[in-house]
Amino acid sequence: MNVLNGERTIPRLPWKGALAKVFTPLWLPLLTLILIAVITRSINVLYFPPLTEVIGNLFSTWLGSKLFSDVIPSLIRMAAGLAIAIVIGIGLGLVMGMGARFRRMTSPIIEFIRGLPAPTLLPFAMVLFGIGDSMKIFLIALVCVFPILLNTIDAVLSMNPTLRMTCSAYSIGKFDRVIRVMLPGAMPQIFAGIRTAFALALIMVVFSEMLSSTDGIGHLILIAQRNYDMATMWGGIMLLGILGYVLSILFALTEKYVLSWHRRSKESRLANV
Amino acid sequence: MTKLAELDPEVGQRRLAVAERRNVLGSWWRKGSADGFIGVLIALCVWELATQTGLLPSQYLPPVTTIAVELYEILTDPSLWVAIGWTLWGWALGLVIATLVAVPLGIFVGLSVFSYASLKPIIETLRSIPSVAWIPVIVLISGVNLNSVVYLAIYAAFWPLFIQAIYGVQDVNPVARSTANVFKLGRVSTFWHVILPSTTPYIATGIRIASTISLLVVVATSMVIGAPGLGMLISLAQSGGALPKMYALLFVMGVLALGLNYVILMVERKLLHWHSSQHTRKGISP
Repeated sequence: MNVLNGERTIPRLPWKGALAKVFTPLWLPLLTLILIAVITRSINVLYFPPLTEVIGNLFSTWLGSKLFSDVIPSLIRMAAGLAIAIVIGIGLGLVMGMGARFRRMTSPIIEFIRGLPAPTLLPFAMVLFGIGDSMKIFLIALVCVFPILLNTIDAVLSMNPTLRMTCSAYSIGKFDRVIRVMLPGAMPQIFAGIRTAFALALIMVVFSEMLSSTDGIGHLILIAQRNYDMATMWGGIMLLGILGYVLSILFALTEKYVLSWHRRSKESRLANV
Repeated sequence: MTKLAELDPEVGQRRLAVAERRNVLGSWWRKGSADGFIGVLIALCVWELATQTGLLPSQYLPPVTTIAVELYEILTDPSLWVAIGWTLWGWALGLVIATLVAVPLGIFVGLSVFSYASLKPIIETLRSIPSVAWIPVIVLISGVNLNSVVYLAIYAAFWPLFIQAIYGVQDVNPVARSTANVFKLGRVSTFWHVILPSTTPYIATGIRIASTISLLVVVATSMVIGAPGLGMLISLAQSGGALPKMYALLFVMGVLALGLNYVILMVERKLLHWHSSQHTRKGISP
C-alpha cells in the first residue's frame, strides 16, 4: 500500500525506547555546538568570534535593541508581500485554471517572468517604486506569486471530474462552485505553493535589504560585516536560521489545522475501501 | 499513514516537485500554440502604444522598440558576452560541484537510519538560512571575486540535491529491497541495480531545482558584491539610469534562464528515458 501511494517509507531506528528517541536527534547538534564553542574560544580568529559572544549578541542586539528597528520591519515586509502574493496567486490561478484560452495566451509571458532569477527583478522593482518599503513588498509579492499561481492552476486542472459533473448535475452556480468546491479542493496544493513562497520571501527580504535599505535584518548583517562587528553578523545569520525554522514549524501547524478536513476525508475514504 | 504523509512538510515539497514535473503551463505551444503568440503580441502592442502615447510614464517603462534597438546594441557588445560567460561559469561550476558532493552524501545519509535521524535537525536549521545571508561571510573569507560567487552557488545548490538524494533512497520500493535481499544480491549489486535506479529520478528533480537556485545565487551575489556577471550589469544599468539597457539585459537574462532550464530538462529526458516518470509528463517546459 505504501508503495502504491508513493509514500516515503522511513525505516525505523534499530533500537527502541523513549531515551533513544529523544537522544538520537539531539546528540549531534549538541556536539556540534560544543565543538564550535570550544574551537571559536581557543583559536581567537577575528572572523569567528566565540559562540557565547554570538549567542549573547543574538539576545542583546537582535532580540533586544534592534528588534523593533530592524527585525520587525523585515517580518512585516515579508508578511505583506506574502499576503499580496497569496491573494493574487489564488485569484489569478482560479481564473487561469478555468479559462483555457486565457491561460494559453498568458502562459508564455508568465513562464518568461517566472524563469528570471528572482534577484534580477530587484532593479525593476526599484525603477517602479524607489527604494522604500513598497518596493520590497512589491518585489516579494512578485517573486512569491508564481509558486502559488502555478500550484493553483494545476490543482484546478486536476480537479476530480466526478466532482465537476456532480456540480453540473446539481446545477450549482459558478460562484458556489468556485468557493465551495474548487477552492477547498485546491487547498492542499495551494499550501504546497505557499510553502515554497515562504522560503523565497525570506531570501528576497534579506537580499533587497542588503542592496537597498536603511533598516532590516539583511541591512544590519551587511553593515555589521563592513564594520567588522562579527558577533552581530553571526548573530543575524543565527537569527535567520531560527526564524526560518520557527516559521516553517508554524506554517506546518497552520497547514495541519486548515487541512484537517482533507486528512479526515481521506481517512474515511480509505475506511470505506 | 497516507494522510499524515500528505501533511508532512518534506512530502509536501516532494509533491511540489511532482507538480512542477507535470508542468502546468508547459503545453501552451502545442495545443493552440497561436494563442500564446497572440497573447505575447497583444501585450507587446499594448506596451508600445501605452508608452508612446504617454499612458504609462516612459521614465519607468521605455517603449518596446527602444528596448529592441538597445538589445541589438548590447548583443553586439563583447562585454555582454563576457558577463554571460562569467554567469554561466559560476552557475555550472556551482551545480556540478554541488552534485558531486551532495549526491553521494545524500545517498549515504539516506541509507543509514541513524545518520539521518542524527543529522535532521542540523539539516533543517542550515537550510532554513537563506543563502544570500551568507554573502557577507563569504566576502570576508574569500574576498570580492568569482570564487565567492562559486562557493555560494555550491552551498545553495547543495541542499536541494542532498535532500532529494536522501528522499530518493528512502523511497526505494521495500519489496524490491526485500527481493534483492531474498535473492542474496550482494550489497554492491543491490546498490547498483536496486537503489541507484530508483533514486535517479529524485536526483534529476534535485538537479533541476539546484540549477535554478544556483543561477539565483550567482546573480544575487554578483549584484550585492559587484562580482563580474549579468547581475552586476543589470544593477549598473539601473543605478546609471539606463532603463532601455536594463530591460534589454533582463530580456537576455530571461532567455538565458529558460535556455538553461530547457537544457537540463533535455539531459534529464535523455538519461532517464527508461523511467516511467518520463512517460507521464505532459509537455516540455520551454
